[in-house]
Amino acid sequence: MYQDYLGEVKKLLHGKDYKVVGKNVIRVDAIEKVTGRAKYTTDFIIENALIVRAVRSPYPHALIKKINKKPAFKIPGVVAVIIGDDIPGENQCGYYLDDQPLIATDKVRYIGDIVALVVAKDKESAWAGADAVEVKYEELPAVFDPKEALKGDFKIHNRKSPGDVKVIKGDVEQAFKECDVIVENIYKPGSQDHAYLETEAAIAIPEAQDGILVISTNQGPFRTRNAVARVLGKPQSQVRVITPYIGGGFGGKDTYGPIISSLAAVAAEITRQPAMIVHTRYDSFVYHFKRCPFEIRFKSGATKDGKLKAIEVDYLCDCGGYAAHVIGLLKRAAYHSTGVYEIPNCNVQGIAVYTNNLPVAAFNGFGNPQMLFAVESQMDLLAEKLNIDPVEFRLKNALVPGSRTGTNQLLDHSVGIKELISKVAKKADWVKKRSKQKRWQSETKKRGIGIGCSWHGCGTTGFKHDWAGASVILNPDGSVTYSTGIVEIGQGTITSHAMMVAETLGIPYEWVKVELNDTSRMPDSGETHAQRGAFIGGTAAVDAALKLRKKLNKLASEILKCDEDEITIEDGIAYSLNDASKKISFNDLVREMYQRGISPAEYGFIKARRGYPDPDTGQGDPYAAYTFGCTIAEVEIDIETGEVNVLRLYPGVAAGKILQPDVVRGQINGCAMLGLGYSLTEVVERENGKMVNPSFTDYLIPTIMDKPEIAEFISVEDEYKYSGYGAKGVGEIAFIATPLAVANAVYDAIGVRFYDLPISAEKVYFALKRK
Amino acid sequence: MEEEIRPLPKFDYFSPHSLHDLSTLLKQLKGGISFLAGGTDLLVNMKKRITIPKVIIDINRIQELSFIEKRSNNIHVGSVTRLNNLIESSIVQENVPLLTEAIRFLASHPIRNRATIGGNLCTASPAADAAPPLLALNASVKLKSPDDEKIVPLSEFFVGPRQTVRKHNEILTEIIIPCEKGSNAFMKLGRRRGFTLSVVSVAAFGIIKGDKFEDIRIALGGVAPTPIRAYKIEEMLKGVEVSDRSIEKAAEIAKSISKPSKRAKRASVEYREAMARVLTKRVLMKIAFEERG
Repeated sequence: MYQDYLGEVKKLLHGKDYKVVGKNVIRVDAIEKVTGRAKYTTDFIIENALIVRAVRSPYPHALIKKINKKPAFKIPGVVAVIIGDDIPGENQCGYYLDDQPLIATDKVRYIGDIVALVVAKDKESAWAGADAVEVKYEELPAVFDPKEALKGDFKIHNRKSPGDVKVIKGDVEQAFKECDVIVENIYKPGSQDHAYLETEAAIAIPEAQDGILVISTNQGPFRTRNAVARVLGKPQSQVRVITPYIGGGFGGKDTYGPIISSLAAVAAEITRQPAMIVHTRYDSFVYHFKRCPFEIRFKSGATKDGKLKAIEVDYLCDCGGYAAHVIGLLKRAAYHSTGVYEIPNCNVQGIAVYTNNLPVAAFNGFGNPQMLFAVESQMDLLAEKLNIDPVEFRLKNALVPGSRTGTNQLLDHSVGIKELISKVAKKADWVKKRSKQKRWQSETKKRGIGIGCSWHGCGTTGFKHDWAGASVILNPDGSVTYSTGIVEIGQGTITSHAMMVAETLGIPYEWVKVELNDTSRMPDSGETHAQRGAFIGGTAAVDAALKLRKKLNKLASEILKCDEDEITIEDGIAYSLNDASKKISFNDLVREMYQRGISPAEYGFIKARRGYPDPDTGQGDPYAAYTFGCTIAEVEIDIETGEVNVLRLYPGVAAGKILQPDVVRGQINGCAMLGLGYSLTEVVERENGKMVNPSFTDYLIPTIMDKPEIAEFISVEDEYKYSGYGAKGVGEIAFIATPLAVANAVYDAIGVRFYDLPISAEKVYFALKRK
Repeated sequence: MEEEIRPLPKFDYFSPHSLHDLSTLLKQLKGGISFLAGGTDLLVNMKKRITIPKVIIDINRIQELSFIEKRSNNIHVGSVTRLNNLIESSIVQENVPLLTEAIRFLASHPIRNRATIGGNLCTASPAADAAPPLLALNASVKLKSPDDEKIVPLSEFFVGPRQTVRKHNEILTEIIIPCEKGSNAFMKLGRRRGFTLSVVSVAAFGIIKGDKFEDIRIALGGVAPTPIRAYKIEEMLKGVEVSDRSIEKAAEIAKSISKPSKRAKRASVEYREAMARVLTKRVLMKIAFEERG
């Protein structure tokens, strides 16, 4: 079931260098995106589509006593008012747990919970209609602090927690007794908005045979299809989801894509007319789910020779009114809580708690930015106590091939973190810059340097299935039609798929056309998240292309009358390695396939090579492979204003084969900026659980003027055997490392440690004043 | 709390092509009027229902309101001049560089392509970046109603947050800025580097003769309900020797005259006051450095 794809590909290429993979080809979507021709969801709006507007709860926690639709119908233009009881199928849209109705019927659990939909002929009527619907509520006591929610007498659901996680290994109590230094702190990394350029949107169109077509902003076409099918009470085959280009996802559209799609679909199904819903920027800020705030108590100990012995971690995840994505990110955080280090004794316990805050979404890093912020702060604190350089301390404990993780997973290969740390430190000139004596400073400015290491399991966390499909069709003219279940959210994955298909078939990259993502032509391929786009989805592409390549090799050997092993295909020509005059063009070869009745199309399908950790101990293999990251940050702090100026970032990844360096650089630099926002400026300010700074005036993402110098990334190509071309994922790793490096650099500069994020200028100013 | 964004409300719309047509129109209309210039503030406020005008008078087609000229020793700027046109104007750069410097980093490029100098002043945000330099430069504004025209010093124009002395049937037609030779300094502190509202901004114009401050004019944004001139500092520094001590003293005054609203978002009162001090010090040091080399 698990093929050594790397080995197979290398064998087919007879050990020759890659022609396409690893090269800076032009992204398949580049030209149309920079010229503005690329189509996004709202470019597909059709004339006369009905407008859907949600009626949302103004209360964080209340019983719904009565809903009166009638006043809405007084507004000309209102076509339908839909409440929970009108939903044709099951009124349920929970992500991991069935705890979230699409339209609330008996109670609301956060400000913004949907209680009705107004469907109208135009925008003005839809808004006026939504205002006119009368909802009678009976307010209930609300709670916004997870600790209070856990202790107090609040009943948001019939249980206080949607889930918990444990990682238990070794004997922590005994190990701490043997430690020479122990550090214990509480960390509170906060929320964050995805702040993508494109807000959430969906269009639903009734199709033939009672089907429904949905075009929407989502990162999981199949989950979206399944969610829509569920609320419509239809088989999955009756729902088709087309996912065009997405203007940024970062996890947010993984969570909200199925929800917004279901809203449009329910309206279209009930009216049997095309219907659409588009969030304003305000709607997006206030109602789409965001990063989960954590509160982490972290205790770690080491011996005086600098070896980590034990960690003891308790943490709370404030998931808001519904579980949504929390179960997954809670577990992922626990499975990564050792950081990139070998720690023999672990006692890690995490719990998610319902509150009346806005629920939480998947977001780049998925629990790891929060957990690793604590881990890497602890590492620097321990190093300081031990009087060991932070880089040296990390190198002493870093995972190596043969190491076992906190979940006791054996990492037998593809573990490049140690080499990566050394290389990044060297590139950043760490030893010299870290030395306090020679450091530049002025009366008002102080500089510092810090390191942060991250890791991120590739693929979905091991309590949910992880598989993907792909299809390759060889057309009679030799051109290739490729389809994938993975979504292009801007990350560049489809380019890497096209490259791998071209390399495997032995043709130029330009011959491969990547089709629009459509669930009707692909088996369930999961979501585009968890660094799985190239890792899982791309491997499915290789699986399909390999099947065809084997057929092509066999056919070529028959035509050229030579041994199959002699055949190679390069730049669209198949020839014999022993006699290059024996050759046939790729086009002729494909035409011959058609002539001889050999199928010129193949599906690929793969399942991640991993397990399902034991729910009581967390022991097991939650991920197939891990990508590693290391970033060093140099900061300059204005001690009069508190401003933190990040001067330079030195990012690095051990992500297996780098399929397309430009795309990876884009990923890494983008991640660095996302990380700077989380480090320095982005705060979701809330009142009664509702965001009160919902605009780009007050929600401060970094601008191009805030961009520091970002050094060319370091890459340790620690190839993974069981994926296409040995690639691992790269979309989240560089983000996770950035805030850790910045926070440690701030401490190095001014000797103040921050236990929460972001480190705003005002916070630094007052901290220095207190000091 | 931030208001929800909704579809634009209904309104009547007029688009006069001359000041004469505008006067005729203003005589006929009864109020509930909003003038549309760049619209970067008005349209957002309408969508948030903070402003619900009955009538919108679009003044973008009045050519007479868009100009930059030097007449005798003053720069005259038409109120509908776009911020980016001001930044690019060599007349402004050569004669009143303080203004160029201050608005160069105001909002973002697309916003500066739309937003106008008149709009920035009439909006009267306590944090408007164009106000402190114009205050420091002793600028005044011309207000025109159907039957009257008057010139008001900018220092008397602002009366409160988002409030000015302009009456509903008056339009700000131009800004008059005296040209003087001296040194300039502008500094703003935002919550990030680009496209950001100032938490505190300070603009100063100064002349130093020998070792003494001969003339200093300084204005602050973000530290009071309106942008303010710091006359106390100006008086204190007049004829005083340029030194760390005198600058430090001036900075302390900046802190003491700062009265930020307690309700102001984006930064605490204490932080704004402290930053008024830091930025005043830095602005004066820059002037001292430039003047003395």
